[in-house]
Amino acid sequence: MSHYDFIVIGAGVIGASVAHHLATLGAGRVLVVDRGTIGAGTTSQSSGLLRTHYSVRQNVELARSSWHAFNNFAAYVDDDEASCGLVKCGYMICAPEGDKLAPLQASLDAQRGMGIEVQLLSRNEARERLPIAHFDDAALIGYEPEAGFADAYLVATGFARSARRRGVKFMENTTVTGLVRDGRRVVGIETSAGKFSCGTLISTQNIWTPELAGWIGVPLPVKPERHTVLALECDAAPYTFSMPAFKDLGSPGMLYFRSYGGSQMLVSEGVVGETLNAPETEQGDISLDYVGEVGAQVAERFTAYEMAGLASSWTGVYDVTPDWNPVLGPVGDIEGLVAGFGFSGHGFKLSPGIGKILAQHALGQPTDVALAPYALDRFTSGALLLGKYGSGAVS
Amino acid sequence: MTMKILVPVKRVVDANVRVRIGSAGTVDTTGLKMSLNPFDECAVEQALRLREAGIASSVTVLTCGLPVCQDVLRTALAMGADDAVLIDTASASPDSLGIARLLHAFMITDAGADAYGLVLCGKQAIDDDIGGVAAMLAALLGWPQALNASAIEVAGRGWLVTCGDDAGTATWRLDGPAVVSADLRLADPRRVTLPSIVKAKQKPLRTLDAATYSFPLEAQTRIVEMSEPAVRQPGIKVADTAALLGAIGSQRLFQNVGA
Repeated sequence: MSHYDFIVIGAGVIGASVAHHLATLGAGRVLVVDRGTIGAGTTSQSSGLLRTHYSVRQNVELARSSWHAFNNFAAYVDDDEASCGLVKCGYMICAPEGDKLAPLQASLDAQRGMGIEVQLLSRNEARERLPIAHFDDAALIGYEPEAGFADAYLVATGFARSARRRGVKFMENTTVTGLVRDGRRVVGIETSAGKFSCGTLISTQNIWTPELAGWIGVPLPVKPERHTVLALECDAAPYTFSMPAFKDLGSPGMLYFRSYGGSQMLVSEGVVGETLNAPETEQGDISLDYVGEVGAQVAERFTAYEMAGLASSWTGVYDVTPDWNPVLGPVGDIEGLVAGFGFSGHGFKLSPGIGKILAQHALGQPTDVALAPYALDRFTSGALLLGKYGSGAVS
Repeated sequence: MTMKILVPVKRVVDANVRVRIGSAGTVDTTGLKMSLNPFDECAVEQALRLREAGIASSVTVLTCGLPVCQDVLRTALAMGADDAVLIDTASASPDSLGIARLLHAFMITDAGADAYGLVLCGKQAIDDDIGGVAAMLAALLGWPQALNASAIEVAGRGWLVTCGDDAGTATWRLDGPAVVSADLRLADPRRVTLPSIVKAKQKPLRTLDAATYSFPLEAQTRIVEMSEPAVRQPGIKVADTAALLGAIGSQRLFQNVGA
């Protein structure tokens, strides 16, 4: 049985980031196993938005360190050819009078308190940046220049390539079937390609985390939730790369928007999606009625889009926890195990920072951002990481 | 010219979904993304262009299946079709001949001011890839047929249709009403727009009971077994060019060239 100091289950953007950081922090022998191929699961379905706007303070810290990585990706992974596909278009968020106004004000204040550049825009200034939208009802508009979107698949493969270059072994199309235990301690994994022993196991299994729960006998509160993304095309009002990504807290679906390919609009709802009975990433059905409903919401803000065409549509799956924030660190009384799951639709934008603190924790090093608030026991202690906007990935 | 076009369509698993054989030994499509068969989508587009060019008066889309299949009819209506028909087959699972018979029965009983002058459909459905309905329907109607069409134009009282085959392309002249099946090259489908989705809800969608056509719908073919395609074997690495030529030579890759 081959031995590794660290084994990571899952080669999505989080697992690949953990592997990269383990390698750069001097972890010794590292193995990553994935049921499919690198970045081909939920990672490949990410809309890729990058922002530091969060109402949960710890998330702002993680998002800030992650933004630094995205904004300097080639240097971060020490590879001149590496790219994360960053489009640095900024991020705008607006709220009308009503229940979202105070949380937005508080979040913007908190960001500024942490030294993040946030501008408050007048309606006219907002329109200059995003001329295809109107802001007639906007009571508060925040704008982060250091934000945008990137390509989650490129980031996962970029981290994986960096990790490989540093000696990490990746086994794709390898299914983990169970753990090897020594009492309370995890000492290895059983897979479709044989057994491997390890000093520490790191699970970044996303929607497949319930498998881990079964292996260790500890309930882990995470469920797969499917979300739909539409790409709309409107020749009269193209959504260009120079226009910021945009969050509309005034829309019923708390829609988020960004440019798609430099002319189309990518739009999706930021509220609760469809819970699946089992973890799977296959494309779900999208009814024309749903397209019509979301389209009507879009046209409220982007008037020209009332004539828009549907260019394409797809679904992605979130690993959602009860408070829409991840669980990071040890679980239960199991030794030799570190888990990271429940990214609830906002894992990509935190992936460099989370990969680093999970690696630091696994190595017994101090973590850049405290893990304690993300502990599993918050769901029993009640110290939830509730976002101020209610359930949804803006958190 | 007062002529209607009938476009028979099929609801299929979306082309981007990788289907798998479930524990029951069949493909379970529950919850998967479903779409209008891409070949049928091209047929709808071409039919709309013929109507917009004044060659046809209206475009009717039709599908045979369960009520859930109405969603692809709505897609076709949103693209611009004038009206839609669902022939509800309930528990029956007709094969290609059964579908062709239903279409035939519908066409001879669906009396209207204008007669159907063209049946335009996809050359095959991407789920079973059989591609039998168009030819069978043409036989039942006694109409000329042109399959795998990449271009169509009106020619007097008939049609001039360019079709692809193994040897290249052939252009056929079909006299009178005809059945034509569409290749993906026939016409690039337009996008459904948000207003058209709303408008589509107001368009007529009839549901007919397949049982009213009193002929048996049981399939004459039976699926004996379904299995996953063989897993692609990994490639090999060779040391040098000589070994590469040897490896290619041993594969007999080009034995059918020129056949």
